Amino acid sequence: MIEVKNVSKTFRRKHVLQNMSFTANKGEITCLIGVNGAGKTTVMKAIMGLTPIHSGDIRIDGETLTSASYEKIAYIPDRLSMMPSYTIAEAFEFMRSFYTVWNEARALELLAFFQLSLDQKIETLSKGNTAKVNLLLGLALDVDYLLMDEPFSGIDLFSREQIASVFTSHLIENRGVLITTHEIQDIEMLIDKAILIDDGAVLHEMNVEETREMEGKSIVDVMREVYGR
Amino acid sequence: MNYVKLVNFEVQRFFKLFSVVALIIALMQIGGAIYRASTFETYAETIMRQQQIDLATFLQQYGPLTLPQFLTSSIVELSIMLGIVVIVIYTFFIWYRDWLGKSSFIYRLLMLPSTRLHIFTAKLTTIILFVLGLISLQRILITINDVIMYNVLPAPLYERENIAYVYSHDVLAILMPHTWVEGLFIYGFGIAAVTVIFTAILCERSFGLIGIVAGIVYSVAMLVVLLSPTMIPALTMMLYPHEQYMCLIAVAVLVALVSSTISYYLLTRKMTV
Repeated sequence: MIEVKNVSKTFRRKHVLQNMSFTANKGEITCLIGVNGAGKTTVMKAIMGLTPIHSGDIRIDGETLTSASYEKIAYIPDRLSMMPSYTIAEAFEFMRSFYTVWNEARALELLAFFQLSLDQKIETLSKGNTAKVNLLLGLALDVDYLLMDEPFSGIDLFSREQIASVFTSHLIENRGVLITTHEIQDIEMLIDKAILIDDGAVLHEMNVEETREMEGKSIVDVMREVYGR
Repeated sequence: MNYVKLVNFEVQRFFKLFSVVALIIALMQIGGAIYRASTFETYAETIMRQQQIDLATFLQQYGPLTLPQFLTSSIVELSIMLGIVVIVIYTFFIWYRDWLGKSSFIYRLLMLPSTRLHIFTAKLTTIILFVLGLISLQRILITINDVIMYNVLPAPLYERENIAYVYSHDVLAILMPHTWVEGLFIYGFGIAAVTVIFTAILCERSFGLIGIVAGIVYSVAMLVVLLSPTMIPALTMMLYPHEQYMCLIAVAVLVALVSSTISYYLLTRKMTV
């Protein structure tokens, strides 16, 4: 379980995270929802040790993050995190040499699924295909938790559908997924838990299925209520 | 193990640049040697004709061409300067390229399952290898230049010199130290300077504008510390030269260790991407 407990962070005198607390469980898809600047990316970076926090505690399966944790939790940022001059084969080679949890078979399966080939140079790919490579490099790691930051950002409808289909596949099974997205309609039916945040604080936390069945409300309905829009 | 992989990775990244710089330096020096040798021959012939003197008199009055004369010429100094400038620029570029540009490769580097100190030491090792590579090239070029001059110029016009004597000249004496103490001092000083620059860069990456100021203040402070053994009269007057060198080496090691520790702290606790 990923535990974020009372995490606060100030950046240029602005409270970007304010006493934020939530959990994300293994085997569930948890979605962080909020407008731009709400603190979604910041909290993900904080979980991955990519930005310091000023107070609070973050634990992964009860332990604080160490370099060894990167074989247990992977972060897929909203931008390419690989050398653009590499071919996909070279990117695979890089990942294989550094991560013991790199799953080559899964990587090749994803490559075929996304209709990409090993000899393609990353910098020559379209925005959608670059996003797929980025996603692929994270998904091919045999980790317990995946953090995905806006995986659908700025890409076409067909690529979005292709990426969304990953969430219903065995590629996600038994893993804990923490995702941020504006394209909530693409994966609404797949989300287990939604956390609505604003100004770096959690406003509302909901079990999506329960809310749908008991109250007859979708995530968007709850968002309208919580954000008052 | 990941440290070795990271060094290999960084070396692959700079190899193209290194090859281009090495080629330019080689072309400048080899071209310069051919040009210098042929112009010296023409110069000697012109002088002998104008002053109606023979070769022996010319050599007595003007002397033969020697390798140190060529090595202190502007073309060689310019080529060495080119190498130094590229290394200095690369010391900054080796970090900033991971943040800037089309990708954010720094995300991947910081999320590798190994201590972040490896990122720092791999980049430092790469700079050291870059420097050693260019110095090795210079050693090879000295021999090549000697052979060129020997073959282009008639024997009396070119005087071959002992290679150890050649290395005692100006810039070469700094690049290729004579004793291991001198070597430790020069390369220790260089490595310490690179760690200080790395720390300043990481300060900027961690704290933004305040980090730039902190980085500059830190760099100046460390420069003063590095040079302090030469600024304390008691030390300069009481110690033998080799003891002063040892003092400078000790300070350089201290500065490198302090800078590495601060950099590790910044990379693990303060770094923001």
